[in-house]
Amino acid sequence: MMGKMLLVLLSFVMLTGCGVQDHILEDVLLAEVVGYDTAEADKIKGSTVVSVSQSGEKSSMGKEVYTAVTHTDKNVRQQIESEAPRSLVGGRLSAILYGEKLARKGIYDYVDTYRRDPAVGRDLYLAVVSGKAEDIINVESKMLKTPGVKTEEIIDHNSKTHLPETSLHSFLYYYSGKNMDPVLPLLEVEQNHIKIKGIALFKDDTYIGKYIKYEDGFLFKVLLENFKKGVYEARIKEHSYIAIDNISSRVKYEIKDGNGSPEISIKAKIKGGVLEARNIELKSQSAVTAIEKKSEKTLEKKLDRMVKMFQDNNIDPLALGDRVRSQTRNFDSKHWEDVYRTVPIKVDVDVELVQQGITD
Amino acid sequence: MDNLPKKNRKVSSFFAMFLVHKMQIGVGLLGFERVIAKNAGYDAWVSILITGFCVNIVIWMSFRMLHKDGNDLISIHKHLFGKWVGGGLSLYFIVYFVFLTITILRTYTEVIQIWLFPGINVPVLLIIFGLLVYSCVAGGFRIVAGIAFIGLLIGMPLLLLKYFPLQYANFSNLSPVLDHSVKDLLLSAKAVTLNFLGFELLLMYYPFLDEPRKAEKWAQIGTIFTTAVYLFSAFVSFAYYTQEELAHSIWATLTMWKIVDLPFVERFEYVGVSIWLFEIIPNVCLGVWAASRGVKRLFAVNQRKSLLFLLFIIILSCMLFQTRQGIDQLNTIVSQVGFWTVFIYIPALFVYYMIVDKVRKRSK
Repeated sequence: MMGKMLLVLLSFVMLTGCGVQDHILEDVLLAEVVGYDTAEADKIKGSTVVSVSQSGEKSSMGKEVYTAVTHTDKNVRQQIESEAPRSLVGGRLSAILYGEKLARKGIYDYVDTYRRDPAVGRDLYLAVVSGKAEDIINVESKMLKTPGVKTEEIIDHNSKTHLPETSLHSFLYYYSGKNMDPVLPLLEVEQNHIKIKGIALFKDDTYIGKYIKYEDGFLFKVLLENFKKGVYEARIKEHSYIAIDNISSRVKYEIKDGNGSPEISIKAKIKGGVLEARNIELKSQSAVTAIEKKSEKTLEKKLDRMVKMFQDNNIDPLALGDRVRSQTRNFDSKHWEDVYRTVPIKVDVDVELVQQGITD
Repeated sequence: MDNLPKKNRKVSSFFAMFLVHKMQIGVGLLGFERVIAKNAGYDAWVSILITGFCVNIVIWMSFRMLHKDGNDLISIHKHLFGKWVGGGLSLYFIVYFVFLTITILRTYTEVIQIWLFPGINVPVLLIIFGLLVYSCVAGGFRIVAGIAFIGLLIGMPLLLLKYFPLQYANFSNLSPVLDHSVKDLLLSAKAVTLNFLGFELLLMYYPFLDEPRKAEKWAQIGTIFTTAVYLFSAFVSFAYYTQEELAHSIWATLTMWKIVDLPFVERFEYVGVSIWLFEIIPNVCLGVWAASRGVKRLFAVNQRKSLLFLLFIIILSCMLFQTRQGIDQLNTIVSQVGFWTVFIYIPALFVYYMIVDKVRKRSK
């Protein structure tokens, strides 16, 4: 009995000898958003917003910005330590931003270090900043009136309507997968507010400088996945617009002859309600049908143009190649890459207006 | 002749299910996906079914031999090959069990090192492990079986976490189904072996099972359960990662815990790795128990003494493997050796046993 007690005591004593580093909340700085920009001569400028827990009864978190210019990403962290009063930890990181210039050079190396790091989560957001990432960091640090990380929250709630899922995971998924390319949200600063400008398009890990406008993000989402929210404004004729509230949108891909000369037809079905109809009568069924037809036309035209733009730039954010692969035996991805730009892609939209609000 | 364990040291027949299943679910589950997808790509789930089925057959064979013999592998060896050759073969199995244990222990400590505490003092950690394992195994087989049961109970809820990656799932990754050659599928099936290893321990603990004929059914159910768990995990991982990304993910399942988003824990993998300890301890206990039991039966030494000796060797060997490459190599070698032992040696032994049995009966 005595021996066993001794054993238990001994293991407690030994555990403390394990050389484990501890992080106590009050003794660390929690990085919330990190931004990277290019700097002169091969260098990068990293900046970060950290929340600083304050002692005392009021539990408000102050925010501070730190920046550093170095060659490698993790060295940025070390450099920042040189001016930070406590050590910096990345466990609560919620967004990583890349300046436009840096993104055009390719961001994989900057993403890879976060994938490798076991201390960092996988559901954090990546985004490209139109202009400098530092600007967003500065704005973020001043927004103290409401708690939470603004950048993260903005991307998060827009992911339901106008942005595709763009976490670290989906970037890695689309980047590493063959025959698909990632997209990231494009942010900008407007009058001291963080704003989504659109969806930045990538070829592998390189921002190609083109983006889908925020309004059209809805259309991109229609093509990419099934979802249930969002409002889209379609032009019916001169001076008359209709705002369609998306109740449910479903998309289907039909693929023929994946290894020969492929043909793709995309069928999207949007069930929606009318939120606003300017200068349009909605009294009779025939009028509603006419508007459905008209908005289908408008959407199809826009989507056709969008898909064409993808093909012209030889990017595949819709993962068309992967969809073809999943329906083709012994898929020849080399052949697909050769023909992708010329593959006929037909977009078919079916709009059904099932609700018109509480008036007619 | 050999003295069999007394009734009060045996466990009920249904424990065979936990014992077989627990030993198969271990550290491998955290990152088996990329190994099996190497050859057959995302058709590798078929390979899991193939291996699972083969294991069922090998278990059937083992029980045929054990039912006839009534004791364990060591007495089968003695019966077939005599004292010296049979003893040599039994010694091989003891070394094999030791290596299996080393693999489990070292791979898990690597996970702790990389995911939780990079600066951890591995020897001290291993010694604490050793103390824990010693106190379990010294309590006898019933304690070891109980630990296996508790491990299963604590580990199972972790399967619910698959809900989170399923939100990002892309099941089109799996299609077109069966787009690989039979050879690729079989190569992957071979790679799955490491994850199913451990069931052969039943050759050692057979005499400890009460009503062994009933236990056979439970052992088979345990293996089917294992197959189901691996199949489910593989499906989720394949739907979550692209093939290219999976090829770079050393711990695919563990990495998936990173996206678990619970209101009260920001980073679940820390909790997950800690809970996983309860999956590892029973496996190490079972491995060490089987090896020390073997030493006891072969050399007639006190099991506690042999246990201390074996633990000492295991901890010392674990310290020898320092790098990722070394640990990876250890896993590969044990997987190879295990494949030959389980799928070649045991069936061969079975055939030989049946022939000898027939011949001896006739000569009587």
